[in-house]
Amino acid sequence: MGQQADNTKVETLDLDEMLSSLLFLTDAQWGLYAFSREPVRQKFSIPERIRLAQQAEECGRSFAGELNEKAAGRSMREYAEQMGITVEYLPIPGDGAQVLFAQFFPPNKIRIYDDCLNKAEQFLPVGNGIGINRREEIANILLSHELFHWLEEQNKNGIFTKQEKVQLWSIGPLKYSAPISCLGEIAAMAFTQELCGLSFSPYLLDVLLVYGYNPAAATNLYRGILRVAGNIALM
Amino acid sequence: MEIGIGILMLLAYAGLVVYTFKGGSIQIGFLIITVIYTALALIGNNFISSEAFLAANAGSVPANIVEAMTNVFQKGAESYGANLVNVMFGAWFGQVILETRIAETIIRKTVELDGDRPGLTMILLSIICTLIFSGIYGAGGVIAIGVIVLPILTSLGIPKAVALFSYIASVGAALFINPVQHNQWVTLFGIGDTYSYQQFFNWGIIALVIQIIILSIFSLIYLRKEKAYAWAAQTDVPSEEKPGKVPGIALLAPIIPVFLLYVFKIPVIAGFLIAGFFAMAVCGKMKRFKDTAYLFSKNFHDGVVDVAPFMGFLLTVGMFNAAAALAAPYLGILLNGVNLQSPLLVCALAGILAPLALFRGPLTLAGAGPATAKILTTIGFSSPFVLMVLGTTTLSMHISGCFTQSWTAWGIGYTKVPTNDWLKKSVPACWVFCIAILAYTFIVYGSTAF
Ligand SMILES: [Zn+2]
Repeated sequence: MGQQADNTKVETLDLDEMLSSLLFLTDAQWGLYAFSREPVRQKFSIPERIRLAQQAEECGRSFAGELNEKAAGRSMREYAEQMGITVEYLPIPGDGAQVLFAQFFPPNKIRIYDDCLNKAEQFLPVGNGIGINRREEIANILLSHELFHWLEEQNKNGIFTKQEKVQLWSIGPLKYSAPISCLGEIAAMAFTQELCGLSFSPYLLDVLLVYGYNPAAATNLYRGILRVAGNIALM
Repeated sequence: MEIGIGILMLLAYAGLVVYTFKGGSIQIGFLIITVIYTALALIGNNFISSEAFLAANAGSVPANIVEAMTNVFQKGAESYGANLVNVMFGAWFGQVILETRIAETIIRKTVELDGDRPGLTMILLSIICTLIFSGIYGAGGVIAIGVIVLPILTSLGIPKAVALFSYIASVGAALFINPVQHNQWVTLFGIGDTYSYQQFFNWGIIALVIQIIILSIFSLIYLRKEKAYAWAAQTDVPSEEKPGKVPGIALLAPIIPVFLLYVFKIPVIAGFLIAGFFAMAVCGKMKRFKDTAYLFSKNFHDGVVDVAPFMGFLLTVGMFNAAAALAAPYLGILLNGVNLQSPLLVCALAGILAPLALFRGPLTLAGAGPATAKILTTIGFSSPFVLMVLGTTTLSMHISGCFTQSWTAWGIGYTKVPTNDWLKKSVPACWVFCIAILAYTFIVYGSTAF
């Protein structure tokens, strides 16, 4: 509760300034950010998190390479539709309970919520540090990310993000392991970065898109990202 | 002519129901109806009633205003004294469980049982929360554990309304075996000596299991419809918790009072003290006498402040109960002709009309329900049976599903779930809880209805 109440009081930083400094974060630092929301994160030390994040990134990038060949010049959207995926553009999710950017509903529906795009377009300064100017570019990033989740579901039985498991408990000889859910997100981001040829991690959109709704919350998030990124110094 | 007084009393009850539905303060609502009942009874006893009526109800119809005020405002409020003491110690114990980080540790360990299946994790957490709240009492505990549980559930991709409902309904289920809840209701019905905690538990544990099973089914239905990968707005980055120094044995603390009470009949306040100091000792909070003394009084203060508004409400319910005793002879003649002598009919009506427990209505004992209870017992139903019937609608509909409950109101504010979205998720499930538990109550306890 404290955190949320603080949002209203926290000072607001300039969007372009925040985005420009986030450009300097390494993949490993974004990996730590992804792990900060992993429910079973306490099972992993910081070096382990970085190693797993690296493997997930490789997985995402290799899928991007494959897809680039298959798609052969078509736009992401055309490709998705050819694969039988329905891509819908809605202003906000039906239940309105949460601010969402995009969703993938297995087996084959992707939704992009463009309310956040309108807001981002409004705030993003021309000639900004990340070189993104058109809402279509952001929509494409969101679409690529969700497309990776579709690939994940298609390749459930072989893909690293679903196969890498962590042992959660054991009773005598009985052992239980589960996949690590943030690895799919890390891979989806690396996949998107490769596919869209971005010079930055798409995780940066977390700050950009929240800014349109609540600049103070985006500033708070930005500070949190820098905080977990700082954990790299603990290695 | 006595019937005229009875009709006026019934109108006052209807007024209370309307007032509470409209969101009026139930504390002042009960105080007002108490004054009205007392005044009407005094008028009846002094000016209207026949000698025969007065003789037939000798003992419950004081003609003396001082005697009536003593019975209602003094003894009525005092009759809840013992219960309030239980509430206070329950609140203290809740603070200890939070302060020692036992609750937090239990929840983290539960989440680590399964990393990848949100539905299963949500069900496991609802079972764990039910165990925790079987022992502790008070809005503070619900809030403090909610700030741990709710972000975990939403980070698993569970929609906020579903996560919140699963949590709140688990708390509601837990109260079916909560000793403080038992104590409060036997005080309300005046059956403290005859309806033991064991009897309450034997009924309530099945009700609890029914509610948790139905809740799990609903949770899975809600999730199936909405399961998706989502890229959602984040507003902060969770901080890295340092691994707590809570030893495994401490995790049993929340259920110790219930266990001691049920198995060894150790009274609940002693149970709270044993479990509370056990928790503090094994968590290393009792290393220095001075710190122990400070923590004991700080936790007691924080716990009691947390339940203070609720205690204020209970005190006016105590007065109302005493006034209702004065009113009973008049309401009794009014209900003479009513043929509601069927436990099946009462259970069926309570099930069908269960949403009347929402918004502090006539079917919740934490709303206008104590007045309904009085009417039902006046008709001739046994107090334990009415307790079970109205207890079900109270816990399974009001406490589990309505945002007029203090901690639910907090949860809605905290998660920013729109209230209509909340009601769409909660009411259908709560209605099914009520119908299933009332059916069970009728089948097993229908024979104890009179
Ligand atoms: Zn994703």
